[in-house]
Amino acid sequence: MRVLVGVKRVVDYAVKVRVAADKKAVDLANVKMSMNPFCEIAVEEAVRLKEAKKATEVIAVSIGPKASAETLRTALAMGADRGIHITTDLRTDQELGSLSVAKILAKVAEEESPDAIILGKQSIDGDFGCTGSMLASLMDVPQCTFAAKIDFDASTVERETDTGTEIVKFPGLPAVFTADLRLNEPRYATLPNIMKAKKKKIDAKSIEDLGVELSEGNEVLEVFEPPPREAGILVEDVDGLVDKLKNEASVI
Amino acid sequence: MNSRKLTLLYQRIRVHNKYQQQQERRRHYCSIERVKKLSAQFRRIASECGEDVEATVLEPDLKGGDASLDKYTTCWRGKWGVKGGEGRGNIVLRPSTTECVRGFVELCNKEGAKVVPQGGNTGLVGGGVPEGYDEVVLSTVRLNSVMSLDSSTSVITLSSGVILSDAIRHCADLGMLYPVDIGSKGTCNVGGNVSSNAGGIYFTRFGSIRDNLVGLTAVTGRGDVLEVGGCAMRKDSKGMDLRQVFVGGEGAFGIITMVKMRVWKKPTTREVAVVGVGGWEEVERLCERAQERMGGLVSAVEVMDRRVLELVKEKVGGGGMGWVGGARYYVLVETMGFDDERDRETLERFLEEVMEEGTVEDGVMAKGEEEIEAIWGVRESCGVAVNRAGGSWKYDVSLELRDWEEVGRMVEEKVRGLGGRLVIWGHLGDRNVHFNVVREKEDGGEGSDITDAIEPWLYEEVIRRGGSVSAEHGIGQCKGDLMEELIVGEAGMEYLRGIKQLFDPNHILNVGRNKTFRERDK
Repeated sequence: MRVLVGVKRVVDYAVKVRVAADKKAVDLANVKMSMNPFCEIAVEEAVRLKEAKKATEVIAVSIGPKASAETLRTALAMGADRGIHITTDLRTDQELGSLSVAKILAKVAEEESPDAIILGKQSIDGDFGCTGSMLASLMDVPQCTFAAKIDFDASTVERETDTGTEIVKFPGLPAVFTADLRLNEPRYATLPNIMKAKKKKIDAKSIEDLGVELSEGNEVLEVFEPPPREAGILVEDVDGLVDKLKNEASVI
Repeated sequence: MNSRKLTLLYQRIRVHNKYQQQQERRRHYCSIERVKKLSAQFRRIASECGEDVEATVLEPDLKGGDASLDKYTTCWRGKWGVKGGEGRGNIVLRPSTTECVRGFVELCNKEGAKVVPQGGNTGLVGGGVPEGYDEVVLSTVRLNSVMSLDSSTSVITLSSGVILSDAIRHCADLGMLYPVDIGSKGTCNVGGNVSSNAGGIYFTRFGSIRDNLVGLTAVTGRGDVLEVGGCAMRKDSKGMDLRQVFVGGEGAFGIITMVKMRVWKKPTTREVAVVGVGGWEEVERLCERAQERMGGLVSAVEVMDRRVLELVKEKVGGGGMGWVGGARYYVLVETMGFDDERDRETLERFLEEVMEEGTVEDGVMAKGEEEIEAIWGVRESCGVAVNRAGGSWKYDVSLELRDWEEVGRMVEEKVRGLGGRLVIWGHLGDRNVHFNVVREKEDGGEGSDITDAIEPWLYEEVIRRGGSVSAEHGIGQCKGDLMEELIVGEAGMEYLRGIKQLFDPNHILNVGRNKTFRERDK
């Protein structure tokens, strides 16, 4: 089984972001970037499949500027075999939309013919969570999103829902899976693997070379910080609560 | 040092024996009437200063013996300090303004009440907790209203009770780095850091508190509010400067109420790797290489031996320990710089080199901030793990790297027969090792046999090798006896006593710390 994993270079999870002066984007200058945490989980899952001898090859793919190659190196250091870097100068946190990403990945999948595609459930900059589903739809293959556990032998996936988990059965491969938090705990990149990763291959090509026509993205009107969280208040009794919910919060 | 003095010194050191300490403590008794009288007077002053009296003056419950004030009167390890009980207790004061601190100190001078200044009470040498019941604890925890960073002068002004991690975060949010970073940052106060001249992980790269302190405000033992340094411009060569009297003063000269610290531009890149090596020679080589190959990029080099890591796994647990393997020592290397493109590569290249030459057995490199925090979390849990293991004896010394292993072996030999074992961790970059002897509770727990086996031999050995007996933990109640003989010398001590007399003529501050400040005949 060949596995294709998508990895995205995003603002590091621990960084406190700031809004850019023109309020059209997040300020990325001098900000620490790393691999999207859900992509890390996706890579980990793929590497474990290889270790369990269920997968023969793990290919990591990333879309982004020159520095995305670093993200691919990280995937290689975790155990991926080779990388594909689709270069672009568009901002991957807002200019390159989910549908465009899905189209690019679909084209890559066409060329690589993977049996399984594992993506993170969402990226922590865009938070759209659409790419996986859109990709499956473009490729006309089954999708198992928010996966907490994937069983390739039984062809089932335990997926997260708002109320708990459910087990779904997928008809077969190829299929798209998106990784949720509980799928696994990603490994550290060990030194020997980091060194080995330097010798692994990364193929780079631009979106134009790939021959993909991008969809129009969303237009960002404004980026602003959420209002600061206000302190809670105490209410006298149930009537007071109902009154506040109705007249102040307007939720009932 | 002649043998007669040595004998006297050994005798005094043995007074640290816990049993005898208890005997001494019973002498430091305080009557209920006096407690009530003082308490009423403190309340009056607090009210005059516009304080919230209930929050500021905490009176001990002398009838019931509730333990609510124990967190102020005993240290977090439970080793130093006194517990409240029936008929016994300490008043705890928590002013929120300099004016109130001044009022309290003035009253204590009048009434002859002894004062123990206290920050976050996270110290390891009993410097911030009372010796007896006749001492009033003056805590800075509510002195936290000011936290203001001036980015044009790179100076941050902080009330002394601001919690260190808050100061660090505030600076980080504004792209600056606060130069002090220690394991207790979630609780300790910045004023306390200055009073104890705390070291920490960024000592090597960003310098000591002595280097970074721009100014401070303190209430002296006499009750004067002294503002020292504090010119808005950092480069201010005023000549004679009183700042350094308070750094490391451990509250003996005054109570710090405001701190002005130099902050640094926060590096934009941060990479951490932790590697396992087989022996001490390799540790030394790694440390040397790191400086050679990466120079100013290195911000911290720490070491932990496998034993302390096993303790952390067992007693503290938590995730992020996937990198711990079978190597004898683990070295954490951190770099911080400003070149997004090349800094990670520089560390990778260094790691490749040391791997190829065989210095390093295994290791990992953090992928992002979360892993960096996880790895540091393990390092910062060493002290906690040891504390949970049972009886622990802590020695914080500075020694040349080549001496660490040898001295460590000597310590092991001395305690093995008593059921103790040595675990080591430390700041390689500053040559500051934390020797910790652990004896699991089942084998015997606390006891003076191990103390007697190690002290004062270890201190002498360290000094003989040109090291420091207290690299960063301070003197407190723990090492006061060593001040004159081993640290400062007779002549030096006389000058220090003179300064003490000037700042605190009635000897009310931190009596019992730096024992040699006490009048000799008492």
